[in-house]
Formats: sequence, structure tokens, C-alpha cells
Amino acid sequence: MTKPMDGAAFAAAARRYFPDLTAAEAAQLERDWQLVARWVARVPRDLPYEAEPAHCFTPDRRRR
Amino acid sequence: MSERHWTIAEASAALDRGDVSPVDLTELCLRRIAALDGTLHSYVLTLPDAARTAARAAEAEIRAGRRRGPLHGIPVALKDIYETKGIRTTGHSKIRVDHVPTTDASTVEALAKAGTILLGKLATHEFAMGGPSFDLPFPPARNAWNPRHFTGGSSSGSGAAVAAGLALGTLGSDTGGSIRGPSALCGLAGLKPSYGRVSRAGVFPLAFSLDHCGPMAWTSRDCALLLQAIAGHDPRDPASAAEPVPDYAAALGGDLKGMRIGIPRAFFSDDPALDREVGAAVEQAIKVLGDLGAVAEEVRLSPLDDYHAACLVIMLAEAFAIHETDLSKRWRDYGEIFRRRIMPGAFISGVDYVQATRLRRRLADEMDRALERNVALALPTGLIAAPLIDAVPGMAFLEKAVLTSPANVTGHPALNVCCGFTKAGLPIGLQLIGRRFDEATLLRMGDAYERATPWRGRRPEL
Repeated sequence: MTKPMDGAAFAAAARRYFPDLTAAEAAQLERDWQLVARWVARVPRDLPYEAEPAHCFTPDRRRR
Repeated sequence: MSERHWTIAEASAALDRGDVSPVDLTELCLRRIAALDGTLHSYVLTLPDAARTAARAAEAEIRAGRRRGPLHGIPVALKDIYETKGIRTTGHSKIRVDHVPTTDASTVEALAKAGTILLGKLATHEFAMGGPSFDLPFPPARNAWNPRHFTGGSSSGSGAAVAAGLALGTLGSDTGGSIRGPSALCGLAGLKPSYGRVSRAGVFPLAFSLDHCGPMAWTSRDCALLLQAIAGHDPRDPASAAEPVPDYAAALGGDLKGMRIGIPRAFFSDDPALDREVGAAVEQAIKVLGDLGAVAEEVRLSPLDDYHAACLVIMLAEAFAIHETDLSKRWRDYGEIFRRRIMPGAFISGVDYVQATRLRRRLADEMDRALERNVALALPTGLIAAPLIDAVPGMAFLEKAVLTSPANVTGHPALNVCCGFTKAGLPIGLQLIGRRFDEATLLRMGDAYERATPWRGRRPEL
């Protein structure tokens, strides 16, 4: 299971992508990320080895 | 305005008979745009001169006995993420406010070849995500049933324009529900085709593996006519499917005898956010489908939140990849809602994305299995009718699962049809999800339902 980012890790990542954010904007971004993190946490990490990604999501190949 | 509303099918038949001309239809739409769009803001660009020129050319061709097909002479409009050669295409964003494409999207080419008249470019949520936003170069579209209310999105202008009769049909796009949502809130038929059925080439992407292009119009029959023109393999789109394209209009008509419909009730029936009027209208619609011969039974699927989790993780990662450079250089040129929704995509890891695509395959297989026994699933398109435009939470899509995201995750076709109105006069949508590449059955069901109910006879009072 991927560990959620703590505050310091998040701040570092935010500075990397968005170096010009004000403190208020950075705080808003962290709040918005928390909304997304809930969905990320819902994605299972324990699928069996053979569970392939939908990496070839080409519909004609997927048709039964 | 009391002038007649035309469906595409009605107008097409009248054009065949010579009872109306492409110029008449175009002028009618332009008059309505002039009268109403100052309130509705459904267009970000109108093309009256080009439309009149195209209408006159269509009229001459038709008079000369060279009618190309059912869409020849029909006035349409396009969501402003469809590239149009020589015509500004902004994505409703300051980022591309001066962008003038040098080529048409494949679907735009197809509609032109079919002889449609392009009236203009329609409002969207910024780059087909977020909204309604009040800090963009153009105002948000407003609902024709009550302009104080939201259209849904992101194909917001498409919803408003068709409902108000400012175009007879439009093309929208759908990454998490952006065709079906506004079709529901604006009272239209709107089809998200199977992934791969309609080319995405030349349509500004939101999330490559979730994006679908499709028609929005007053009826399922009209959607069938539009789909016929745009469906099929396109080598310009790497995900385009080489599947045969049936005759969609020929599939319409008749009852639904023996068709099995699955109801994924756990998706919505116990959700406290489900509006009582919406729930009752959808249950009544399922009963009508039963009266038409369909057999309904409950189906069990994974929780809706699983579908939404896969959709959101994939969408934000892909969307952030598309906007990464512009976000790093000029993020203040984006509207607040778009950037707040998309910036968290920066923190989704490669592992998160791959795990979401693994979940996606499992969910797609599950949906395929549910559709082995049933030809369609029936459920609400949304939990509520259109809210007030200034009361829409900007981050709602990140806060709560929506009933439209499953079909984006799995790639199955899905149709919205209007299934009634609230006491306040706002439309309610029924969603039908079908087997892969079996849009014909969905359109047949939608058409049968529309003919059996009074809802298509009601138009906004403007």
C-alpha cells in the first residue's frame, strides 16, 4: 500500500509543480488534494498478479 | 417565442417534401439565438454569414434533386472543443482564446459531408471540466427551462441550445458524464457511444482513455441520425474501433418485447441525496419500459464508489499530463474551478494510475457480464434535477460519486432520455447503459420510451 503523503512531503511536491503558489493557495491545494486522496485510497492494491491493467483499452480488442 | 420547434427527423422529412428549406431552418435558429442567447449564453461564437451561405448552397443542391441524406440542410452547432478549420476554437478558456485551427475534427468533417449547416460554437465548461465558472472569457450557459438554473456540464451550451431550439442538434463530449448530465438537466436525448465508436480526432482531450464524442438532440431518433454520420473507424484516432456501423434509424420502431433490463438499484436507491421526484420518475420510466415489453430485474455490481474512484484517478492523471506545461507556466490563466480540480492530479503517482487501470479492467469485465443476460441497464442519470446555477459546488465531482462515471470507466454506450419533470418544471433523466457497440438497442429503447410518453411534446417557455 502506498503511504499517503504527510504535510512536508506534500508541500515539497506542491513546490515542485507549482512554485509560485501563495501560502493560501498552497493550503487550498492541500485541501483539494485531500478530496482526491480519498478516491486514490479506495483503489485496491491487492489485486492478483495476473490482474492486467486496462492498458490496451482498445475497444475492438475488448469486444467479446 | 412561439415559433415552431423542429426535431431533426421532422425537419428532414419536411425538407424532403419541400415544405421547408435549409434557409428557413437556419433563419429560424438565428432569430432564436438573437432573441434568447443574451440570456442563455449557449454560444461562444455564432457564424450567421457562413451559416446563411451554407444554407443557400444546401437549398440549391436539394432543389436540384441532390439531397445527400437526412442531415442535409439541418442547422447544428458544436461544443467549443471540436476543432473547426479557420474558426476560433477556445475550449471556453483564456489559455486558447485566440486558437484558430487549421483542420477540422474528423466528426466536424463528417457532419459537413452530410450537409449540415454550422451555426456556431457552443459553451462548455473550461476544457470540458469543472464549472459553472464565472471567471472565464465567456459566461456559463444557463438552463433553458429556467435560466436561474444550471445546465449541467460540461456540454453546457449544447444542452441549453437544443432545449431552446437554438440548434436542432449538437455534438458534445463525455469523460465522466458530460453528454448525459446536461442532456438530463436540459431535457434532451444524449448518447455517449461506446469507446472507439466515434472518432475523437481533433477534439481537445480531457482524459484520453475516458473521452467520448457523441450527439445531443431532442429525441433518440435525432441522436440516431447524427450518430449515423459520425460513427465508424477513423485512422486519425488511435483508439477508433474497426467495428461495422449498423443502420441506426432502421433499428428504431416496434416494442421492446422480451428485452431484459438490469437495474443496479444499489447505485442509487438508498442514497439520501436521491431527490424523491427524480427517484419516482425513474421508477415510473422503468415501469413504462416494462409496459412496452421489457423485463426488468435487479443486478448487483461493485459499489458505485469503486467505479468513480477508477474514473477520477485515471481522469485527473491523464488531464494533468495534458495541461502540465501550461499549468506550470500560466496557471492563473485558467479558471479557478478548473485549476482546483485538476491540480491535485500532480500528486497521483504512477502506481496509483496503474492500480486504477487494473481496477478498471475488473469493472469493465463485471459490466460485460451484467450485460450478457441483459441488453441494457437502467438507472437515473443524476440524483437531482438542475440546481440553481450559483449554488453548484465547484468540487462536487471530487466529493461524491456520480451515476454517469461507470460507463466512462468501462467504455459501454449510455443514453440519456427525458423521463419527466419536477413540480418546478425541471427535466429528469433516465440513463440506459448498453452492450459494447450496441448503440442501436439503446436508441431503440429510448425511441420507444419517448413515443410512449408525453415528455417530448413539452418545450421550455421562453
